[in-house]
Amino acid sequence: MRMVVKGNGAVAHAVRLSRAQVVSAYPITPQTSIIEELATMVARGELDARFIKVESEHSALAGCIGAASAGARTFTATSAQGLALMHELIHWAAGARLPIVLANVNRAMAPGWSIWTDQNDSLSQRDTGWMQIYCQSSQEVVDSVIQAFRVSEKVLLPTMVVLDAFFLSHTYEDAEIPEQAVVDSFLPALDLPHKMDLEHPAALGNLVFPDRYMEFRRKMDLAHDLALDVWDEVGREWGQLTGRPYGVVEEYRLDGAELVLVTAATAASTARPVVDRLRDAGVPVGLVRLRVFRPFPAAVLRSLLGGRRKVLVLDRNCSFGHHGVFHQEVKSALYELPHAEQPRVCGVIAGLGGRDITPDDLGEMLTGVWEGRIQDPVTWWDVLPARDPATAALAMG
Amino acid sequence: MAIDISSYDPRNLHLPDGEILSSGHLACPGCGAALGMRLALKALGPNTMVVIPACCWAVINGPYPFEALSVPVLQVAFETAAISASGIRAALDTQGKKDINVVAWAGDGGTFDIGFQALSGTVERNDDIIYICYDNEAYMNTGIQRSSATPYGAWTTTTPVETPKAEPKKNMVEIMVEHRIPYTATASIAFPEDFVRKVEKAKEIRGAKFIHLWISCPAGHKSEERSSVKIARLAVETGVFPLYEVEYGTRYTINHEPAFTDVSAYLELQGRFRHLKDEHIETIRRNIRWEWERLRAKEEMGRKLSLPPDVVRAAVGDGETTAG
Amino acid sequence: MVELNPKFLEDIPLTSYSDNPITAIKTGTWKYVQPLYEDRLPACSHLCPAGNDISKAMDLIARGDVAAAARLWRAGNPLASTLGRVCPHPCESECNRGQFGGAIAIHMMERFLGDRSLDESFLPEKAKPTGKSVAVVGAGPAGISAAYSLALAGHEVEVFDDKPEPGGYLRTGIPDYRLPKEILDRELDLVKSLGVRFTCATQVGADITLDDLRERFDAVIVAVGFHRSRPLAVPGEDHPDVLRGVTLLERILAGERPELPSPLAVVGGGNTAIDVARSLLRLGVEPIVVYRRSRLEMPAIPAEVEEADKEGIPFHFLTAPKQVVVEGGRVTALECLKMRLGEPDESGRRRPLPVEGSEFRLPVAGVVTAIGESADLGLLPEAARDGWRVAADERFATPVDGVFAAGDAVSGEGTVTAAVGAGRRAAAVVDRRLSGRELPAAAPSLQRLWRRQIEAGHPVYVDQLNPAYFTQVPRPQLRELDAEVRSSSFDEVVQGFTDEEAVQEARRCLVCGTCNECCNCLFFCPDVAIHKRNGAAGFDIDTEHCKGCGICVEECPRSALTLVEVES
Repeated sequence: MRMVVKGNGAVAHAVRLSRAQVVSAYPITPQTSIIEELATMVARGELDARFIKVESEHSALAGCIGAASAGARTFTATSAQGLALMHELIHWAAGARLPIVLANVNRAMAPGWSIWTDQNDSLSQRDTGWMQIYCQSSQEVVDSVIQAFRVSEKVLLPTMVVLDAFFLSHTYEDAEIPEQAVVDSFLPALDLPHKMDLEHPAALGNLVFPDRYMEFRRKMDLAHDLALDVWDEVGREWGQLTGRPYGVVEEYRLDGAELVLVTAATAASTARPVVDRLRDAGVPVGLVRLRVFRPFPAAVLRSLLGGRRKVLVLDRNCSFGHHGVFHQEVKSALYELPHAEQPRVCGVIAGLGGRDITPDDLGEMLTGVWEGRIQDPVTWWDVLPARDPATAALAMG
Repeated sequence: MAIDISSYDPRNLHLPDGEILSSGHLACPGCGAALGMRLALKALGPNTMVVIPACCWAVINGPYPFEALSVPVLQVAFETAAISASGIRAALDTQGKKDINVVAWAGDGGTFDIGFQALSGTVERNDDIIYICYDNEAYMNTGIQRSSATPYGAWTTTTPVETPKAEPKKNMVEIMVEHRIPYTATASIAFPEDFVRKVEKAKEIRGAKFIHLWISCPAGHKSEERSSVKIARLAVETGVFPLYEVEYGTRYTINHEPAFTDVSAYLELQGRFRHLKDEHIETIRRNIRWEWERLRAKEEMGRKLSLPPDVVRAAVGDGETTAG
Repeated sequence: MVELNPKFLEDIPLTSYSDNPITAIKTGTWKYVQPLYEDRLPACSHLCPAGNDISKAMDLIARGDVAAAARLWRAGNPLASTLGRVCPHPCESECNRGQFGGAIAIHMMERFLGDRSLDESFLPEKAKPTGKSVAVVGAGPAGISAAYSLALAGHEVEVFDDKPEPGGYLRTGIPDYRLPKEILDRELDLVKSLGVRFTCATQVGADITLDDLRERFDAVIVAVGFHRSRPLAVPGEDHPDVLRGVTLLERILAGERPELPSPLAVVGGGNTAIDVARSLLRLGVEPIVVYRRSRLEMPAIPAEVEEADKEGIPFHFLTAPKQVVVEGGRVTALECLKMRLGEPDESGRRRPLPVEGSEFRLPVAGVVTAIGESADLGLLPEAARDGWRVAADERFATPVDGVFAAGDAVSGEGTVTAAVGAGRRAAAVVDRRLSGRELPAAAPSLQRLWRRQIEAGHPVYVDQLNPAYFTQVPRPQLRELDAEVRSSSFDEVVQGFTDEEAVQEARRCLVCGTCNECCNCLFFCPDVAIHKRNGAAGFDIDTEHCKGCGICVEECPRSALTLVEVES
């Protein structure tokens, strides 16, 4: 059924269609309407679930961990401070191999206290073992949340489905909301192999000595390797079911592209018309949108970017001390290409704290890189420049 | 000869048969927590799932690949005992499995301090779990640091003898009482039948139940291993740890009238109190009297009050029950 | 189930899923001490001169198995019904239940067991005949006890006594209202049923010599007791109305009801004095007891003194006789001197010292002396005598080879119970001698002769019990004949227990030192390392997992567990 939904509403519908059994969540702007809609669905009987209205995000994920361990399909949602508060348990959920799905509305970390979008919150969780998938539209949100349950329950790792604050969470778009029967055929009931079971009593989460810990961690890493293929397969299967296939990345006008913009989320939507405009102006530009970020699609990126002249990675985040996360990760993936095929990679950090990334910004970034005006490995976009960039004292005041 | 042989019963304790706890667990010799778990499980039976946060029991339960209990156990992060139990309950509800006991078994640290928030949340929602805090009055698992459950005057590694704990023990039971949950109680390993009765009673109640179990810890209390039950008994008989139950935050029942043995009999068995001077012990005596005055007043008052009107936490709205 | 030491990742679960029972970890290696169930001697048995296994018997009665209790008792003690009437029950003075409502009426329980087992079926199996024989001189309690034990050990036994009937002091010195003679006779029948022969009216040393006995028998036990009274040593003592207490009692017990003047002063503080006084009352004579020390120092059984009080018999304490006043051929008074107590004498009691100028006259028509007895040792050579006692060492052996001695004649202890115990121990030594072994350095203690192993070194007193498990349960009132009714007859004063009363009283017994399966140990073990034995009594300790914490030992109410070091 076609509906006009905002990103948050899309999450709620997808969770409903996925027949989540336990929702354990705490409000935080701009995620709140996800849980409000879910609460209403539960109250009206549209979603047969238990909704634990916890007293903090830390408890939100803990509630999911408890429920998932007992074999239920679980969901939660949060942002920024909430996600950071959950951090200890983000590690836990992955290590416990629980197929929890979490919708994170990307929001800037305080202080300064900000409700607007950037990606530091979700990217701070990149080392935890969760899968991460970055969406650009309400449609993609609906489809990705459902796929997330499927992939998570197959590889037994939790998935974070990420939406930009306001630009996606609160922007209304039209989307096809699938029929329940379609989702049911795509998503069988969860049967967690290590669930708590009176017939097979066991302890979960106890002490592991050095002689075994690494093996559990190795298995998590192997699951990530497997997951790349699973995301691919599932994306194709979804395409057959709904006419909307997905891959781990999205390619746009890569044929003959000598400069490729690599970015994620709504900035990629904004970039598409800019790519078209520049192509029309003769600039051989293309776009790769990062969709599945964890597991990191290194091989796919190498195949798409190897041999190109230049790559511009746009980060709406910064890993202080080592600049943009996507930039680092793309570069490190490309390092494995033979030297001759490695493109020149530049990074731009823009849009932190919800600052708008306009089509003009993107145009300037791309032409700047193409024409060699932007040479620095990393450029902070649209930020008042330092008078003396070498002065570290500026960091202090 | 007309002698009634059947009435002969040398047992002092009448406890349920069946053991869910196995031998071989890693508790210290004389551990009150191990005894407490054994007794609790006898009352709970095999239809039980247990949540254990970081605490002594997280180690006692054994390392991977061993388990000490023959019921499912979920070991969870330190703060999360109560909410993890709520999560399990929610999951079991959705599976239609309504008759499994879900029990959070946490130490004083994971209840009074770091786990306080989650506990308050769970019981405020009246989630259908039994929360048992086994209290050895300090962070024993990490090496005897003070918690808000540490009593006045006690030595711990973070309250050394030069500055022993100056604050009184936090009254977690009364905090739970003020959440107006169906059932709150205290218990002691030296009174096993009372503890078992309380756990059995909690099993039958729908909603949040909180039991505060006093346990000895020879390592942390610096006491003799063999005296663990004796010291737990003295905690009750000196009035330091009253045995009582509260229903719906209103009806108090004192279960045992202590002998009010002088508290020095209790203190002198524990090295953690060895440094106390007479004036500190006198303070402790005064405090015991003061606490008992309050407790008796509450029991008296409770007799005159009616139970809260929403005493049966009925379905709200369209049939949402607990944990929802 | 997971491989404990997998080599391959496939053999490991996804996460730390642990379902291997932790019993694989042998925490028993942690301990350096471990608990041991060890039966220990309770305070009561520690003091019992006859060596009765009291707590075990009480436990059996409590469970309803009176027959087993009776058999246990009779295994070493032929005179249960008798002792249950005449023993001064020192056991009760230390009974730990005394702190929790009142001592167990052990005395009454012994009587109950005895009265319920006056039948051969309760006796132990005799051992096979050894072909050896023993002569016992004296058919009093020591002799009867020795004969019983020796007969059970398979020896031929013949008991000689100068009186017409066996029993010794039991027959001639204890009134019927304390010990009905039918009871004594039935217990003697039990002894006879083992083949013991009683040859009465035969005085060894006159009708037959010791050497004759040494020739005819493989061993001799001399158990002649104390039957001669000591004199008062005051002027006027030779008057016919100055009687010997022991002799008077003999006459009364033989059935005489002599005509006696009244009032009579009874001089002495022991059981004989009390028995005499109470007997006189029943004969219509007014007795006045005169004793040179105070009530506290009286050697008589306190319960007997109390009975005398109840019967209204007057006592003059700190009063010693100075002279029997004879006027006109009749005794008119006993001149007495008041005494005061000084330093203790060799008996440990404070020495009575005369108060100068305190003479006074007690108007009486006669005097009965009951100030102590001594043994008739005519049968023994000098070498075997030590003043008024038989010279016997810790093995009950006299210097004369093959001749042993036991009872009052050796110790002068003066109670039937001690005599029974002595007889049993002497019999054990003789049995050993007859089986060709060396004599031990000392006679075995009575507890060593028990059927069960017991740690006798440290008796269990109340400080070793765990009072948390005992409540105050009062001692029952004993039923007695009314004071008026009883002082007019020689019927038994104290009425025995019914079956229900006995079981109820046995259930008050704390069973100190012996496990009665209260299961405290089992329930308080944090390691679930104590298990009830299947189909057998008691518990097994899982030493593979027991950590030696000792909670079981501490929480055992009755000190039936101890901690011992683990052998490395």
